[in-house]
Amino acid sequence: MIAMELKILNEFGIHARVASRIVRCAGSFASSVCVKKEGEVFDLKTVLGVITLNAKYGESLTIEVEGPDEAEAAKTLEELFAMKFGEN
Amino acid sequence: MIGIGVVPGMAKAKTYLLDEDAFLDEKKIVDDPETEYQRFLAAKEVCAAQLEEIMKAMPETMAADSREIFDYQLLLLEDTGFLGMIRTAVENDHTNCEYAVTIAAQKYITLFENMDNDYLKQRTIDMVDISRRLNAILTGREQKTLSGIMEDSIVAAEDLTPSQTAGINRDRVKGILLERGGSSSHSVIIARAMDIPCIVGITRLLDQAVHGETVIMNGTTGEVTPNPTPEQIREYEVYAAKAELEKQQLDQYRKCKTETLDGAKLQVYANITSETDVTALLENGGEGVGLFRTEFLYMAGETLPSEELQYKVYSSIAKKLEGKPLIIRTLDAGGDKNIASLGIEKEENPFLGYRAIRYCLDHPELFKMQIAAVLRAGAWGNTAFMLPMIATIDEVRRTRAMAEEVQAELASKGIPHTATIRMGMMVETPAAAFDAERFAREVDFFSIGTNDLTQYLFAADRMNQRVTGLNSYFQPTLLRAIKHICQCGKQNGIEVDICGQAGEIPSLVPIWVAIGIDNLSVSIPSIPRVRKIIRETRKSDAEAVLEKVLELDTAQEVERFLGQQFR
Repeated sequence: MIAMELKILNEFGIHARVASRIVRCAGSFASSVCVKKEGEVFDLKTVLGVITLNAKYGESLTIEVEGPDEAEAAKTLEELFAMKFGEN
Repeated sequence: MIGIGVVPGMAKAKTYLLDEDAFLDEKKIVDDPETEYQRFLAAKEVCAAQLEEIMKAMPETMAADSREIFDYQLLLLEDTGFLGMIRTAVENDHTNCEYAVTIAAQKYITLFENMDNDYLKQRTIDMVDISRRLNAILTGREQKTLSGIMEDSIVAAEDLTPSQTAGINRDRVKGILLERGGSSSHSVIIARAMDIPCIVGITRLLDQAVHGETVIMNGTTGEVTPNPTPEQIREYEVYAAKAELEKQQLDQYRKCKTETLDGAKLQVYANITSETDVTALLENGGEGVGLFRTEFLYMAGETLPSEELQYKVYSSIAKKLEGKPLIIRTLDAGGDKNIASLGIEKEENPFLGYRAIRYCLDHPELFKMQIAAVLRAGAWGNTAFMLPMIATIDEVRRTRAMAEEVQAELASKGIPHTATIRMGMMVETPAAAFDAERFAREVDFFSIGTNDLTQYLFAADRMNQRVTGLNSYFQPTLLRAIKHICQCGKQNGIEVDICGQAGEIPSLVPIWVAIGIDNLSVSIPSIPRVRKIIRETRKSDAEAVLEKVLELDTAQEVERFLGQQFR
């Protein structure tokens, strides 16, 4: 399992379009992708999981990736967060 | 019944009740859960196909924002949490899938509603929308939408979902009545964009409205009159006839020049909120766009408009205007305009808070996107910036520096753009009004935003009913302030416009002429009316009236006096 800390860099937090992108990205890997926040587990492979996470600008998320392609999945997610999910 | 009028105008038509309730579907126990779940999976496929279809049918400019909503709904259909809940209900509890869909949606709606996040609260509409669509498919009943309305109707609904408004038939939908819905909700934005009279916040509307019943609504006052008496119908008909007659009489004022009897020239611009407004503006003889409220671009979508989308909209409007000015107000977020996707925190005093230029200068990435889009659109027409809520010289200078930076970037990348940065400011803070002489040296034009200037000048919240008396455009103090602003502008050789509501108040129009205002930017339907008043005004006479008005002490005296002078 890979655990990493990623920050929400786009100013407007996770809205519908960003959520859609995260889900499409996480969903393309076999590994599970989750966030633990306040004792709850949010599945980043589902759009409602991402949305109900209620993550805001500047917030750091501890993301856990586990599975056969975890290294690649972690790397891709890291890039997606760093490029602010493709938002300008 | 009474609610809050959000789009003005009166209408009389039959009520079209959109009272679908996603939660009507009763619980039934099924014998064969496996087949039942297969039935759900089949419905899910049909649902996805329908959503794809809607997205395809959308006009391109609308697509970028609205398409996102349906793309998001497509993902809901694949959401393992949502689907898992439906599957469990069917397979373990042997419930019918309609009921399972309803419960699963309801669970998320409750979850969203209990979150302290306005953006998430708005997401409930998508859960309602998708569960209704699924259940309509499952039961084979027709989903009511606004595209299929064949006779003149006033739609009554709890709120309107994106699916319902996607193909709204604007020729038949004469008015919209909503039980819920704030002034910036999805449905209201659509109503405003299409100029359909709209009233929101009507308590127990769905209990009281009857499908097919004739109703009269007044989007200005918020009054709804079901089953009008012959007397009330006559009143409406008088209104409608007057509106129609006025329209005909004003026809000749669509095309003629804007000048006074003694030859003083002005221009009548209009305020717009979207590209679709431009056709109506040109038909009514608008001589330019005096205020493009770009915040509606930001409100229309679930996400922020990209530089490309903004460029597309601005340049397309600039082209349609064929050289007439297009004054683009930079994002005026905050105050009464809550933009969910910006995630601005709730404030005690939003009108005095983190809004407009204050927010933009703090978010250079966002601001530069808009600046770049405006500069690029300038290659296609006569565009200018207008900065809202300016209170200090520094804000103007910082924006100009930022625009110069963006311009250099565009040049280095070889992207076509305008070489001149035309930058005006709204004069709406007392600071800007008081120091107008200094500000006039910094900008290319002034535009007086009378709505905000009035509320700030008298320190009276314009959303607070109890202080509306203070917020009068007839206050002599306001008129003296505007005269001062205009003089300062003239001394520095810049144009002075008015883009607030006061610009189109009939008895004040001659006063603006007398003060020396260059351009009045009014609502689109008012263009011919304002031009007519200007053409019937003699500037020298108006100046004599102005002199007397400026000696008066109270708003009542001014209003009475002007009423006598100009009928």
